[in-house]
Amino acid sequence: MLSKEQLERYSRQILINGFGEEGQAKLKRAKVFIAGVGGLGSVTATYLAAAGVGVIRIVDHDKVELSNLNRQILHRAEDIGKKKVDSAAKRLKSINPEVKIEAVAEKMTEANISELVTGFDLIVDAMDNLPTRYLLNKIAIDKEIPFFHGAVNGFEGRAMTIIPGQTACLRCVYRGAVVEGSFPVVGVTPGVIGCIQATEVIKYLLGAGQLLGNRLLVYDGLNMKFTQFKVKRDPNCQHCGALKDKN
Amino acid sequence: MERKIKVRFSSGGEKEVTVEEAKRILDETYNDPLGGLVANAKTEKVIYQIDPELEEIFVLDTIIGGG
Repeated sequence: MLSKEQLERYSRQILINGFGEEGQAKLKRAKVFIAGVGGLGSVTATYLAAAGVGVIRIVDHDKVELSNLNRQILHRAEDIGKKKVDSAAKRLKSINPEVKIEAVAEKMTEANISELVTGFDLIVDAMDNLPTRYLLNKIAIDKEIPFFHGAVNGFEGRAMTIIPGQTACLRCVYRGAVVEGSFPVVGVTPGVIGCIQATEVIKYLLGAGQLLGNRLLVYDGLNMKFTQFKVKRDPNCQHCGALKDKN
Repeated sequence: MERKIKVRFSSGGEKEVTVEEAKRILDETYNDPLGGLVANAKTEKVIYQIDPELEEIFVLDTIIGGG
């Protein structure tokens, strides 16, 4: 049951055909795990909080740096040196005080990732490196939790939605070795890709539309082009190969 | 005449190469640890080998960021 204030706050999206109060209640019941509150995480967290997702857990062990501020829109100049999860939580609460924000300033590792994601309905990949993405992909497969992938570089971005047992996972697609590195990026690119991830999450929670499963969406900002590449499950995938096909 | 495969790169540029060269590009892309991918440009399917009928490939350059 939505309160009078909630009905007013979410009135524009409740008006959408197929959304309604029932859809809003689904968002309110949802628990979303966002890995990273940098460029992508700032955007997905902002829109999911504004949309009324009930619980959002943000996990990031970094502190805000000056070089983050061209794209990490939840943080401000006065936050430099503070934990990212703290400045993010503060802004998200100011956008929507009704949303429960759980701020966890921990590095995600093999040792803690299972406990961190337990009880959450889905995982948003807002990381800046492949090793942690693979860690998240693996735990999403193991626990059969939907996983919403996004990545950016310069003016280019990618997004894909992974439903364990139904669609290709990250490791089905990216088969290379695992290293870390830094990357160039213009702030608007995670803005575009983060919005796509948030859209996918909302669609998933509502049970509406067609998800980006088995499709890798590639955004080319320089030429303003979106291209979808078909991908499929790899039966020999080291992460999801053993998972029974649910289609 | 030796068969050629057209190669386009997401970072810009294109060229025509031999099948052997296309295989080398594909291997290099997947050995790149930062997320490179290769697609059949006609079917827009991500591919992991060079099939005999392939005419054109699209190389998606490395991508790792997000933070």
